[in-house]
Amino acid sequence: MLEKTPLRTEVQSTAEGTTCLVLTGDLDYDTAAELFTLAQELFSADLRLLELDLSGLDFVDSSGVAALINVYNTALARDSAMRIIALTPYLRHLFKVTALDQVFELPPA
Amino acid sequence: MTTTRPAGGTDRMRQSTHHVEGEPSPAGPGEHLLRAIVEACSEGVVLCDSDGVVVMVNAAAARMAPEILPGRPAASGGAAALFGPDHPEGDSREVGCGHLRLRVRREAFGIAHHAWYLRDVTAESARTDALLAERRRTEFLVEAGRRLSASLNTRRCARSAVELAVSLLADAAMVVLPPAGRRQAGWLRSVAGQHDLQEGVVTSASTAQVPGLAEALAGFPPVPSRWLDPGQAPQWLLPDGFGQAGHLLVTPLPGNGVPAGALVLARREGGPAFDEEAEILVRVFAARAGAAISAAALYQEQSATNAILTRDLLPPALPVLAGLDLAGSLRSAQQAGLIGGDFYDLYLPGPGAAGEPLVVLGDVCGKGARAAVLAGQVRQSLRALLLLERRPEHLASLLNRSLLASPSPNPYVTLVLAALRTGQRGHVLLDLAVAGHPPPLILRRDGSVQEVTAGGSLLGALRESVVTPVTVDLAPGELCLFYSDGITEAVGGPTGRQMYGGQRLQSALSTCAGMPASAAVERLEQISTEWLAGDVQDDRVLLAVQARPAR
Repeated sequence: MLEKTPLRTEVQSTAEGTTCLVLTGDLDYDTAAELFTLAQELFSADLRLLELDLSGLDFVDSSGVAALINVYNTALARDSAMRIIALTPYLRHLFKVTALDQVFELPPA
Repeated sequence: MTTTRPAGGTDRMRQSTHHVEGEPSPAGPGEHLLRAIVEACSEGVVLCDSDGVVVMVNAAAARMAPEILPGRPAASGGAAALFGPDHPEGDSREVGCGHLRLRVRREAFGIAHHAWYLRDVTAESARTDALLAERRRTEFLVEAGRRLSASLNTRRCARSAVELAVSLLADAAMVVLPPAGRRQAGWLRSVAGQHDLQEGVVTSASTAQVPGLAEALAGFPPVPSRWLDPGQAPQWLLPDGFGQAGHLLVTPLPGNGVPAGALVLARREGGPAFDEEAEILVRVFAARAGAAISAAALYQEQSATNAILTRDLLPPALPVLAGLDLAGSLRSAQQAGLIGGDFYDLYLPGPGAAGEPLVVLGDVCGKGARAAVLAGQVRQSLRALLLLERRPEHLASLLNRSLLASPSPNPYVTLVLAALRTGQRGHVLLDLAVAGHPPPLILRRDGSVQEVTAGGSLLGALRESVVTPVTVDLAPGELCLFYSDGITEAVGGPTGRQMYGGQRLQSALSTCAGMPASAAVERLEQISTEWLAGDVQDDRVLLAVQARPAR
């Protein structure tokens, strides 16, 4: 059986109203809900911008992508923003296939 | 102890004390005192001489076996069983004496005398018997629990129940299941000592012929066996050659709120009646059997419902179409349900209606039943939308809006839509819309593989979906392959941790040149399964559209 790595999250406050969330491990069917719950907690505080560092993610499945969409939609609904500041080539490919690269704010390739 | 004070003793008594003569205790207790001590003893004492003639009987012994009298051989009359001539010295054995149970021990005194010690163990042995019986009942119930929980099939549970019942409770046992819709009740019967199980059905009216059965089937508490007249039992109740039933016990099988049937037990004429303890045991057993049978019935009902619901979620049969061949394969991660978030479907224009056949292959976010339900909704929505719109990219956009309005928590879907047109000289044209889905692959006649570059956003997530349509032209024998990420993201291979990837899929597809669509799909599915090496992680779906090869 494939060994699964758990999802680890690290919250850093970089500036006033900005929080950086560093994700490592697997963002999949089993862990996607964790990210969404955490993001909702963060947005309930006075957060203007959520930065996501996804360069440490080993695996993201459709549920993981769904969680990112949900975070994005939550940000929009609260007049805040979500920005991806780092990601893996695999994720960039995944966002391209799903056309999410036209929706999410991504760092230049 | 001497014979110097013989008063109150008989001659034989004097003889009996003979063997202790000369003990170095001249100041010991006198005979009166000794006799009093023996009399006060709660154990029965019967002292005999060398001929086995009783010389002394204490009060306790006289109470236990009144027929033992001094001056007569001990082993005579009604007490003969107590005093066996071959009873080993010092040993105890238990003997029935009248309504008592006595423990008998033989001790020798000197060369001439021996004494029998009697102890009344009637109560003790009754307690032991009761304990053993209780243990048998417990073992029976443990075995019953084990066997009844081994199946989720109503008939097998009922079978276990009657087989268990004849192992301890009765000579014949029958489980009558609750009457089904047709006003007939099924029954199963077993007879002690016979291996074969008998089965049948009776009408609800016939169940009323058995005393107490209609009440038990209605869930009323059981009536004591002694109130039921076994003479009234109808012929169908007991097997041929069973003989006359002497005792009947009818017990309801309690289920989840509704009765799970009834248990009818019969003992032959002349056999023991169902006493109160037996009736209690039967009631406990019936509770377990009823719980098992009703759980099995519930499970079967839900399985049947599941099967009905699942049927619509399974992929459709692919028909033979003019000028093209279709082949599909769907492997769901959840084998038990055969359903998942991956799907494909085919929509044919109605008879006389204009339009081309349309195929869809998609992947719903998530896994298992929840994903399968959303996949079913997507397929159904497409069927409805097709009445109004046949252009794939517009269908994708409409589906996006429909999914945004869906109450599902994560209604995200990626899919490929393809309208199938037949062109000139055996060519097939596919009008494609790829919505956030892995790009379809085209296998050309020369074995080269191309990726369809058209892209689009996944559906159900964004207010506006952008899908760019593209048309693919297949010459005869060429093939277009749709697949889900379960194929390309399968982790396995030689190391067990490599992702299969798009590149390997393209290489595998190029080896399928010249194959019919069904063989190509089968081969790719097999390669994928080998890559996973038994570790099924995600749903996997493949669908190939091939322009029919020229003859």
